[in-house]
Amino acid sequence: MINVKQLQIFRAVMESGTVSAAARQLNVSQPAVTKMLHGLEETVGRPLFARVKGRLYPTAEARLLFSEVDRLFADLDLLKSYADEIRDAKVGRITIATVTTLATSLAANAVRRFQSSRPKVQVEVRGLASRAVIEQVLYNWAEIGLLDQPWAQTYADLEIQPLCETELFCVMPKGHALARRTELSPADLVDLPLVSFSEVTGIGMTLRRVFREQGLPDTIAIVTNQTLSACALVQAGAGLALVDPFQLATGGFPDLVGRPFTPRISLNPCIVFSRTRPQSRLALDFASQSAEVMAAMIERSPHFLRAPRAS
Amino acid sequence: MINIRYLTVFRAVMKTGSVAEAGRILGISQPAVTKTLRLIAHQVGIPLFATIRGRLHLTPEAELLYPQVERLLGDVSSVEHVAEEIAEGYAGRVTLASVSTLAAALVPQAVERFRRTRPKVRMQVNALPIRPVVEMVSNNQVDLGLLHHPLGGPELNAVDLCESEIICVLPDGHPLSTRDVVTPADLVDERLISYSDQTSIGALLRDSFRLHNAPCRIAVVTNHSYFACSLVRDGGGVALIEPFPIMSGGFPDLVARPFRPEILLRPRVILLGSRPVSHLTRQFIDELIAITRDLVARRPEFLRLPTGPVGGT
Repeated sequence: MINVKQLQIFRAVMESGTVSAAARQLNVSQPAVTKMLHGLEETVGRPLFARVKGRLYPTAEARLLFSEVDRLFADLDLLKSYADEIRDAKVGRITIATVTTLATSLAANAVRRFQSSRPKVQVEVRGLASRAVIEQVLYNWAEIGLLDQPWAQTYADLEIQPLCETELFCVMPKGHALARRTELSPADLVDLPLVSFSEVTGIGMTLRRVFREQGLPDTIAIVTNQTLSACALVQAGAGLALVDPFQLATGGFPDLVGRPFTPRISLNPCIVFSRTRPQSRLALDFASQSAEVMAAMIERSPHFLRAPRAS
Repeated sequence: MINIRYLTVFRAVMKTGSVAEAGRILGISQPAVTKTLRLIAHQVGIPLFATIRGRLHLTPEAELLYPQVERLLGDVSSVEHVAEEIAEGYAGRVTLASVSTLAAALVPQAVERFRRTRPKVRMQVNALPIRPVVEMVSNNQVDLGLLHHPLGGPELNAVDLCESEIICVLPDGHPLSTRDVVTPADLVDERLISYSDQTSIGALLRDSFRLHNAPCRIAVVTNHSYFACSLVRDGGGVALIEPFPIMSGGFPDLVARPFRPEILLRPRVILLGSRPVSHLTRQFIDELIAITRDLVARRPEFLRLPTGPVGGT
């Protein structure tokens, strides 16, 4: 490989026109500069400068070489500043896999804040079912996963950071007769059309078991896979929903209210990472941004969300 | 100061994904590789790897840095090339990377005409798949690239050479060769040879079949248009490919018909925006434009002049 020191000195001489100026600029002795130039002339086999009255005049060969050398050092400077940006997590890409209810609440807010201080960072948000979120993180397709339940506990390769604690709420129009109640039990809901998750989901399964244990039929007439869509169904008058409170906690659906459902069906939203590879500074920053956003949501909606117990 | 020599070690580790393999290629020990990585990490101020469960993993930050390192090492080889050329008595040189079919159909005549008046100028022609062509141009390893259609990032400038289209290549005497044009419906019972749906042309092709409610069953997928023609010649089916192989003269027994709906291609020169375009490169591009004009005049059924402005690099 060509001698980079020689090139550096060559560039300084080209720019300053004299050996002494180049020596000063690079903080080396004049004989050292002259020696390096001779070394480079030896490599290319041609004179690079004509010496006229103490000044150096570049030959055509030197000018030709200089355009390449100049670009090399310009790109070296670029590399350094880019490395600084990488170190400060100002550039790069991050993929977040999230359950959809956290995508439209927590993730949206976290991404907005995250990007306002890192405009050059590309963010991809994939709204998915829990199982797919775990898969994305396990297979390193996404750096970060946001889940509403720590299903991830069963996977040794996942690291879990709890975000908050909450539970299933009964979501209904503000003026609904049941909205006056402080909490609702399965018996209160027996004759009403309900909107909730399918029995193949963990929450859906638990919900149906609760009805069954109380000897009541579950009246889940409408099954959906997304909380946002469940709330929209309630808004449209299709029924009452038993869902997580994140859409209401984010200020969506101002005409709807949520009342606690008993027995409590708890939710433990969390951030998950893969333990099998190094985390980028970006991913760690996004995780702490998410935790901050969640803390603000908890403060705003204490009736829906509580801080996680120290794990 | 970043030590450029160390960066070659970083590149080897990124390319092979393994310290052992990188050490083997570079002829140095594994501990030497790891030590060098650590030194670079210190110089650039970024963690480049972490050891998890006894194995070395490159960090996401290392992946981010890698393209910049490739570019810098491209610059180094440019300097070395120029130094070599100066040593040999400089007459200039044009280096290019081209997708294979254009390398065989357009480049040879352009090179021949270019060197007729500049016999001392040296040429380097790299015939490659699309992605490496874009990479070589982006990494400042060649003066220009040649592609069939828009691809690559904002750092690249393009000069359109012409418009072409996907054609249907048939053995002479095939029943479809009596048609003026071939449509997806005509091809339902044929064994089709074309590009993978991972390529942009392949995806357009599948869309076009879908629009015609015709099943798109591509029996043989290839990245190589010349292979497709060879397979048609050997009775392996009919091919939907770009038209340049047919114009190369290598397949006298094959005929081509326009495919409809038309799938437009834009053969073009790509240049790295930040690389100054040398006088010689500019002249070579002019030669490419002239050769393309000749081809357009000869095969107006498959080629047209670009609708946008031509030339002007």
